[in-house]
Amino acid sequence: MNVEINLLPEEFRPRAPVETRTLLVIVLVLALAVGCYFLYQAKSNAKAEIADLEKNIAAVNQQIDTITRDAQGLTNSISTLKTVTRSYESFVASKITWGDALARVQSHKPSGVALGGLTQKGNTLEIQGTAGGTSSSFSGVTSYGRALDGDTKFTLAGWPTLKSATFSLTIKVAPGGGR
Amino acid sequence: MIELLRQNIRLVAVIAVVVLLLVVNIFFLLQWQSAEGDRAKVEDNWKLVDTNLRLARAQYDLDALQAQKDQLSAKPQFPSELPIVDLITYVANGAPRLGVIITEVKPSASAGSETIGGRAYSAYKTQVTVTGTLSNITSFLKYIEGGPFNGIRIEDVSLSGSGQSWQGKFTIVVITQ
Repeated sequence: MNVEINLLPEEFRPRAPVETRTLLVIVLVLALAVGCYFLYQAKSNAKAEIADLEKNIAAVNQQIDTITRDAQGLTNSISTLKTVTRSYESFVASKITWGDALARVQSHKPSGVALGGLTQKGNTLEIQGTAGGTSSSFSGVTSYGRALDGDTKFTLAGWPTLKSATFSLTIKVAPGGGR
Repeated sequence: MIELLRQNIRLVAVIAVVVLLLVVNIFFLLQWQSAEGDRAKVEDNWKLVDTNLRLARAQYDLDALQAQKDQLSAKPQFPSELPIVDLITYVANGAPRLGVIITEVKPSASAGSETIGGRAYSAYKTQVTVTGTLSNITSFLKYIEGGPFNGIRIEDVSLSGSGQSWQGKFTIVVITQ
């Protein structure tokens, strides 16, 4: 049995070389530690990307909601405006401008006929007055009736009446001409 | 056994560290895989939402809708409220100009309702009595009907008289939304 005696103090003694096995263990530990770091980083990156995407999704969803809400609001407004516009057009189309109608009634009046009353009810207008007072009275009234009926805005409704030079004519007035 | 472990305490420590690191690695690996799975789902969701946004933009052309609304708003329509001050001023100013005298103005106690084009509107009626010549009363009616007010109608016209002395009764109806 050999006994190796080394009398050199410990600090002067050469260091024993690191064993390959120890080196492998160190490398393994380092590799595992690095693996830990990269896996943690990868997980964190994935989570961060998820958070970003979720934020973007929420923003886009809000955008979709805004578009839908705005569109719905506009569609409702358009629908209401369409109804209102249609109503107004209907109102104008069915309106009779009585100022114009009465002016035309007067413009067709032949000489010898005097007006005494004009009464409107719906789209009819009753014209009352006096005509001459002679045998030509009725011809004056019929002449007036013909002139009125010849106007595109008027239609004579029935026979004119005449009694002691007082006549009555009823005409229907066509709508339109309103604003 | 314990003695053996004591003698190889370094080895035990190294094994423990390696095992611990392996466990942590597996833990992070599982978490990363789970996160990757979640990310794939969220990415699918993002694609869906992005498609929905494009569809919503295609379906609802807000500019076109706004243009349509503006176009409709520009069309004449019934006033939103009774233009009372402007109307009475207009009528009052017109009477002397056209040579008629307003002798009575009788507004209805309350607004009525009128259905026009399938929708109900408020109808304010005011009965007016005037005197003047037939021609002047007729001009006055034309003046009111031709005024700057939408939704005005004259009804129940009744004129009577002779020569230069006539009395006219009529109702001014104002339709408002």
